[in-house]
Formats: sequence, C-alpha cells, structure tokens
Amino acid sequence: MIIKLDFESEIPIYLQIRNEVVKGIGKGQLAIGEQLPTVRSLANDIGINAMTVNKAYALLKKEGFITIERRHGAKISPRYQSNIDYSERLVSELDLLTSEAAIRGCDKETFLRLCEQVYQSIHVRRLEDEKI
Amino acid sequence: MDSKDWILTIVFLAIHYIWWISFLYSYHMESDMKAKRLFTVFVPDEKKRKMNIQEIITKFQQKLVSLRWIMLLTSVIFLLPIPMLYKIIYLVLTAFLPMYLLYKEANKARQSILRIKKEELWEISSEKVVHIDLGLNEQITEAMLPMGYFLIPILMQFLALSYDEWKGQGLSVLSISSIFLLGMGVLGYFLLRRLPNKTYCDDHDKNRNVNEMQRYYYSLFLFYVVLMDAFIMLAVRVFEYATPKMLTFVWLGFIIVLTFLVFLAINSVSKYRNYKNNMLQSTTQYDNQAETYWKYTLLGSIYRNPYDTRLFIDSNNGMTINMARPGAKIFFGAIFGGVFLLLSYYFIYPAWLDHNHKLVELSVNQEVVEVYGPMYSNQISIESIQNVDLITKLPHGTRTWGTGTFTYMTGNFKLDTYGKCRMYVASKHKAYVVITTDKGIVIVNDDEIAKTKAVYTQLKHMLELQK
Repeated sequence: MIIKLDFESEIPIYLQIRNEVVKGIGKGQLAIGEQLPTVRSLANDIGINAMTVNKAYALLKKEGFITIERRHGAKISPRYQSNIDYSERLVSELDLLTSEAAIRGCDKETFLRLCEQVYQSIHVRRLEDEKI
Repeated sequence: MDSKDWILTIVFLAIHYIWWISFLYSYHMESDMKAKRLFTVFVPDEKKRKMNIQEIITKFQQKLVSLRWIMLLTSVIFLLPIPMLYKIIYLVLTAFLPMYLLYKEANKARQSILRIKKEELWEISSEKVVHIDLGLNEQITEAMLPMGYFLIPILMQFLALSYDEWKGQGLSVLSISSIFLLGMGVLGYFLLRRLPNKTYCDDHDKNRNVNEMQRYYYSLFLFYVVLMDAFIMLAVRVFEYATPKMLTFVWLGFIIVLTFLVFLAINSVSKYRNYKNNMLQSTTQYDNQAETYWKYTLLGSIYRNPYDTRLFIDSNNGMTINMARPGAKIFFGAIFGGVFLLLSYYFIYPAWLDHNHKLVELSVNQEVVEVYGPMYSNQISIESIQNVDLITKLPHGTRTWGTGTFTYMTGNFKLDTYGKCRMYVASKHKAYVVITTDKGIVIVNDDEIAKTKAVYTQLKHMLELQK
C-alpha cells in the first residue's frame, strides 16, 4: 500500500501516518494480519525521527488497529469492536462534518449519496482468507 | 624526449582523457531520453517525444560531438617536446574547458525546457508530498552482494602488507591510502544497507524490484572499486621483481586487468540504471524533486532540497547528495578531512619536523648504525658492513617501492651508479652515507649535514680498525 504524507500540512506527520493506515485497512489496501514495516525502517524511508513513527504505531495500537509484538513487529490487528466510546466519538465527528457540509450548501440527499459512494470503496480484507 | 618524459606524457594524456570523458559521459546522461529527468527537469514520457524537446536534445548532443573533437585536438599538445612544467600548467588550464563549456550548454538546455514547461502549462508536481510504499522493508538489503565477497580484497591487502612487513619496509603512502580506501569501501557497504527505500510508483512489485537491484548493483560497484584498489597494491609489489624484459608484459597485464575492473565497475552502475529505466518506463512515477531544487554548476548538477529528508538521491548519473541535509556536510567533511589528514601526515608534518631538525637522527654504536625518526627508522648491523662512502649528490634513478616526498625518501630504489639499493634519507640535506653491506647497498643520512659527516668519519674509523 502506498501512503501519502504532506510535510506542509497542519496535521502532524504521526497523525497522517495513523490516518493513512486506517484508510488503508478500510479500503482493503492493508489486509488484517498483514505486517507493517518496522519503526526504524519506516522512519528511515520517510526521513523522519523514529519517535514520530513510534508515536503513530502507539496510537494505532491503542485504538485497536494494530498489534505490536517484539519478534514479529507491527501487524494489522483483528480487534474491532464498536463500543459506546467509539459511537460517541463517531457522532461527534459526524456532527462537525455534517455542519460544515450544510454550511457549504450540501443538501441531505447529496451528503448521504456521497457517504454511500465512499462507503462502497470500503472493503476490509483478511490475509488468511486470501491464502485459502 | 627520453623514456621518463614519455611515461610522464602518457600519464598526462591519461589524466586529460579521463577528466574529459568523465564530464562528457556525465553530461551525456543528463540528456538521456530513458531517464526521468532531462537536464534536471522532470519531463513526462509523452512530452519527451515532442519536436521542441527533441530539438533541444539533438542540439545538445551535437555540442557533445564537437567537444569530443576539442578533447582530441587539445591532447595533441602533450605530444610536443616542450618542458614538463608547461605540460602540467596546460593540463590544469584545459581542465576548466569541459567544466565551463558543458555547464553552459546544459544550463541553456535546462532553461529552454523550463520555458517550454511554463508556456505549455505542464502539470507541476507537488514537491512537499511524499509517497511511501508500506510493503518495502529491511528485507530489501538481502539482495545486496554478500559481505563475504569483500574478504577477497581484504585478503589481498593483508598479503601485500604482510609482504612489506616481512621485507622490513613498513607502511608507505600507497599502503595507507589503500587501507583508507578499503575502509571507505566497507563503510560504504554498511551505509548502503541503511539507505532508505524509495517509492517510485504505485506498483509495489516494481518498487521492490528497483530497490533490490539498486542495492545489488551498488554493492557490486563498491566491491569492484575495493578490488581494484587491492589489485593495485599487489601489482606494485610484482613490478619490484620484474626484469627489464618482463616489464612491458607486466605493464600490459596490469593495464588490461585494471581496465577490465574499471569496465565492470562502471557496467554495474549502468546495468542498474538501464534496469530501472526499463522497469519504470511506462509507469507514472512519483516525483517530489521540483526543478527549483536542482541547478547546474561548474562541477555538474547539484540538488539542494530542505524538504527532502533523504541524503542520497537518484540522479541520471547514479546518485547525488542532497546538499541541504546536515549529512552532506559530514560526508564531504569526512572525505576532505581524511584526504587533508593523509596529506598533512605525509607532507606538512615531515616538513615541520625537518624544519625543527626532528625528522631523523643518524647514530652509530658498537653493534648497529641506526636511522631513527617519527616517519621512518632502520638499523644496519656493523658486522655486515663492507664499505662506506660519503656523497653529496644522489645519482639519478627510480623508486621501485617506498615513499618519496620533498622532505624524505625511503624504500627500494634503482640508482644509476649503485643499481638496486635501499634509501632512508632526508632529501634536503645534501650529505649521504653509502653503506655497502653483504645484503646490498643502503644510503642513509641525518637532517643535519655535520652529523652525517661525523657518523661517516666514525664508521670509516671502525672499519679500518676491523681490518
């Protein structure tokens, strides 16, 4: 999977890495069970401090998107359980997104159509299923 | 011109051609249609076929042909029977010709392409967005040439140094430089392992293959360079034993093997570049190196991008350094610093020692004659001495092994009057004791003429008493 990082963006690099990995999992570009590069290797390839990559991986692990094992490194994690905290956060973020869309003249039907289009590109895949 | 003048002439011609050909080849690659960049400007494949771009390339390549003729014509001067000093000055002055002429033409071509790009509103890529292929990892380094191959040149160097030790010759300038180059080669291998992976396009397999081939061919190039260095070290010892009849064949063999190794080294870089260009030919490549960060100077193209976090960048000629990175200063500092330290140790330090009469002490006791100093030392057993002479001028000759600077000369020489001999002399102090021993002739002196004469008198007296 190819991720894109913008060094001029206001979004910190570690957050961009986190967002790209999450989008990659959602769109099936990163399969569940797939290995991510090591912290040192990814930091070297991007040309940033290893602490930044470490921060991104730590955040992904905390949110349940990856697991990190000493011997095997970071792997895309299967632990996805929607809970109350996540639902509240989802509503909060949708609140902001919907408000901005409405202010900019996007009606309900258009907004829902766009959501459906984006959701159609989502395809979470598992590495084991592909090996079978 | 005598044979020595002809040898120097051939050396000057070789330097002249190597210098010109390096620049011509390097700038020829700037106009390579298969490369991503033409004259440091990113040109999409479909735009390269346009007539205005083709005209610029053709015009530049015609200039390259003219410059090849200039290279040949300017080399004729070296064949004339003029003093060597004038040839050296001419060599230095003509060195600026390819630098300036090629810089001027390449810059003109670059400005023309940039103008076309602006007028035709080509898409400008964002230089601050970086693409990273998450499928690339440290396993790429497994494609490198195994480290074990480097044991071959290390063993060759070890044999050469052991031979010197066995002959009691010690380390010479060539040996130290050679070991330095070997060290740089090994360091280069480890740095190559730590090279960042590059994402060229959206095809993971192509990204992986190009990165692996880069590691393999660059480690192969390093190996050939280090092998060349080790070969020269061993070959120099062979020259020492060559008879005058064998010398021509030894030279021929040396040139053939060295040329072959140079070809292999250049070919490895060329193979990587061709592989990469073929692999990425019909692919949309990512590019975060905007033209504004490239420019031409007298030394060729330079890349300076503070937003690009890589130190080594792919260029049409293999690799270039991002001059905006702190690592660039460290890299050049290490090379120039190393060279400066080496030159200081062999030229400036001995000159200072000589000026303060600390270069060498010549002394004699009941058992040995000893030359002792920070740069060299040797002992000659009194029992082995058959005759001593004092001379004020060294005969003409050549050095077959050892060190020869403006300040001192040590090692094996072939002199007109004495034939094969060993010398341990402070060059600027014109009084030398020629000692004939049962193992050959040794010439020594002190960095003070009076002391040299005093030792000579003492040795003469000791020999007379022995008789």
